[in-house]
Amino acid sequence: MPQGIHVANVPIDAAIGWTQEDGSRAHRRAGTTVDDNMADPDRIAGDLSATASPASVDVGI
Amino acid sequence: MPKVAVQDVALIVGGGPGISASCARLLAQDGMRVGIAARDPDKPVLESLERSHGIRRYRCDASEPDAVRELFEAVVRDLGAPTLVVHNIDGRVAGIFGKAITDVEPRMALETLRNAAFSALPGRPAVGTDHARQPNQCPRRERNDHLLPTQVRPSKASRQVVPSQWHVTPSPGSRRAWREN
Repeated sequence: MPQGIHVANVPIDAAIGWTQEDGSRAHRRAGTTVDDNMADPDRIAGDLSATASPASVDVGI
Repeated sequence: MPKVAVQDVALIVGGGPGISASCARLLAQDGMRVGIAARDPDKPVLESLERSHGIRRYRCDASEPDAVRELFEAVVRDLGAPTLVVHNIDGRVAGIFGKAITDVEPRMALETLRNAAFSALPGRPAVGTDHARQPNQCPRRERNDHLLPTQVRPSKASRQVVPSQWHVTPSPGSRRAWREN
């Protein structure tokens, strides 16, 4: 019976380079991105958010 | 009849400066109440998220089932029952980085598996279960609860348990996916 629970497993096939204070993106061990070789976590978050439901619901009382 | 906006609640298990922080910012901007759990919730990036986006921080070692149960109880109490749980735990212990599979100590491999894989299991029953709900929230069938486990593993990790070099170019497919979305 459906439980109303959506499970999405999200394998991310990339190193993650997050934005630094100077605007560059870097990985904590690998250093700064070279030729856009790291995934941008903001973009990944956007994809995950799109996978999930709208942020809020209105309930009449 | 007045309407009351009921905010959805998101819980991110595993917090750092990468995907978890990006998710926390985005979900908060979308109007969700967001909690983020980490073994060390006092990381500067998490403190910054609290100040900038009102993210609630929780201390939790998600490899411990009792700690996960207590985490969900605290989140339900503080924010409400989560409708979105992002399991975002890397799991690799510090000593395992940079080692080839033949050099990894079994104890570290076991601890990494426990952190990365087992830690997802205690959280699963907690999302969407009635005990995690508050009385004023919708019944289960009217809701859409989500569990999003993320697995950040560069391609090289499939051939070598621990990548010794992190300058890994994403596969063409994944790069295309990022750019198209």
